[in-house]
Amino acid sequence: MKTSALLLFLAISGATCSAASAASEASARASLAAAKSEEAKAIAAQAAWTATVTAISAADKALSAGDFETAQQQADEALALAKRSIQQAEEQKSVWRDAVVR
Amino acid sequence: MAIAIAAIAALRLMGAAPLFAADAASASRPDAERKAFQSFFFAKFPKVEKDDFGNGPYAVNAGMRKQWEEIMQFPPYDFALDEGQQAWEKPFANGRKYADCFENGGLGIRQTYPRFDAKTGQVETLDGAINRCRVENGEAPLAWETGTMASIIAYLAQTSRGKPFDISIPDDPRALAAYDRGKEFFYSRKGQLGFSCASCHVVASGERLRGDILAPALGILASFPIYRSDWGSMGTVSRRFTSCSAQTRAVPLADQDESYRDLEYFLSYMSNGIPITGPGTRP
Amino acid sequence: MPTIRMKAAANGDVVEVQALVQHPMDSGFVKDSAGNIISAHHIETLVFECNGKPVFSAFWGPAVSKDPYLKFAFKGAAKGDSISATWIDNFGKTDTGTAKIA
Repeated sequence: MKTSALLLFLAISGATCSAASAASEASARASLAAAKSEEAKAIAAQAAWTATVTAISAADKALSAGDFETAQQQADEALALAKRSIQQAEEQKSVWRDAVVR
Repeated sequence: MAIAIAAIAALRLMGAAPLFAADAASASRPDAERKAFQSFFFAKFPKVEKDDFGNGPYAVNAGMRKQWEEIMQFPPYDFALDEGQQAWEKPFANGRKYADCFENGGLGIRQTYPRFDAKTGQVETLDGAINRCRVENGEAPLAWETGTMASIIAYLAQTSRGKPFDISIPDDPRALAAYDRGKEFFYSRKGQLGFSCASCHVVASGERLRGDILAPALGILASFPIYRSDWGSMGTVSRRFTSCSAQTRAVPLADQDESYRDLEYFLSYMSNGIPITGPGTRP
Repeated sequence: MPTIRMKAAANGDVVEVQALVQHPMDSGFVKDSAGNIISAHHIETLVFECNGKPVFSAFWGPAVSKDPYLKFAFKGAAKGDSISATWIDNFGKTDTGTAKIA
């Protein structure tokens, strides 16, 4: 009785785990696509950071290797970096004048 | 500032020849900004002669200067100079020469670059003019960062040694806009490290960045192209701009991107009056 | 184009010699952008002679960098004497340069 309950539990959790893995591959891919799209905007604005490029290629590499956890982490990092880099360029548009030698 | 402008205007009325190319803009905002820029550095480095600013770190650090004087007994750019002169004098396949594209055969004019080109509405650097000459004569353009381009500019710079920077901003709103874009670039923080050109070359000029002494922005382009020991080879302004971008963890723009040309225009104009020291050698 | 540029100056009874030698001095450890080793190509011996006698010999290898600069001093020569330098590299190539002592 206990063994079969245990086996049933394991079977269910096993099924849930693979469903979770399938979800993380899809979400990793989606996050990476979002990061790449944001980075393209940063590059067009001449505001891109090399750290973003590094994170994107790490995410790409992890995805090809089937390491969806890492891919998700790197894609999230890349998206955050790309957004921050665009924000930096926006901020600097008004702030740069404060630095001018008078 | 207003008194300075009035004084310049008065001098011009009296017929005193202005030091730089006479144009309607010379008693203008860029000229006032240039004076403020130069005054900042003269005040920050009171012991440095105006003519020495083209020597960058060697002007502001005695220990580095001593090493430089020793290396200058046998400058590492010597080979590039010879190669550059040979390349400059060799005719194109169509029989024409580089000298045909420039006034005075291209000699003794480096200090007037970059220039605003009214035809394209953009800044043209000496590097750009050299490649334009090549392409107009059926030759492939040279790579921007090192090699033959650097050797040729080394030779041309040497023919202008001692001549003060003489950059002109003609009375054209597009030229002023290019200058202003260059100025904005210079003072804008970029890259993951959030450094602007000014962060290192104005605020921290003369101080150490790891093992190097930061050169003041005033006169910083006067010594180009440079043999940089770090590179073990020659490098042009393009090489330095792209590597500087990367060092702040910004993705570098393409060599000779319009933004870099605008920056070179601004920086060179700020250094009007500072003599050319190129080609140079740096750590 | 000469690969050895030399300057020699007499200071009392000591002659100071400086030389700049043009040579790739490839160590044999560096890879090119395609990932292939750039073969070792460096000077093995560099000998300076003055008045028929060797006054300085250098045995170089991969540790000496590209386009090396060398400086040394010796006694036993005077202003007007001729000094020559010859290098031989690991490919058997050779070149000689001369200078007059100033």
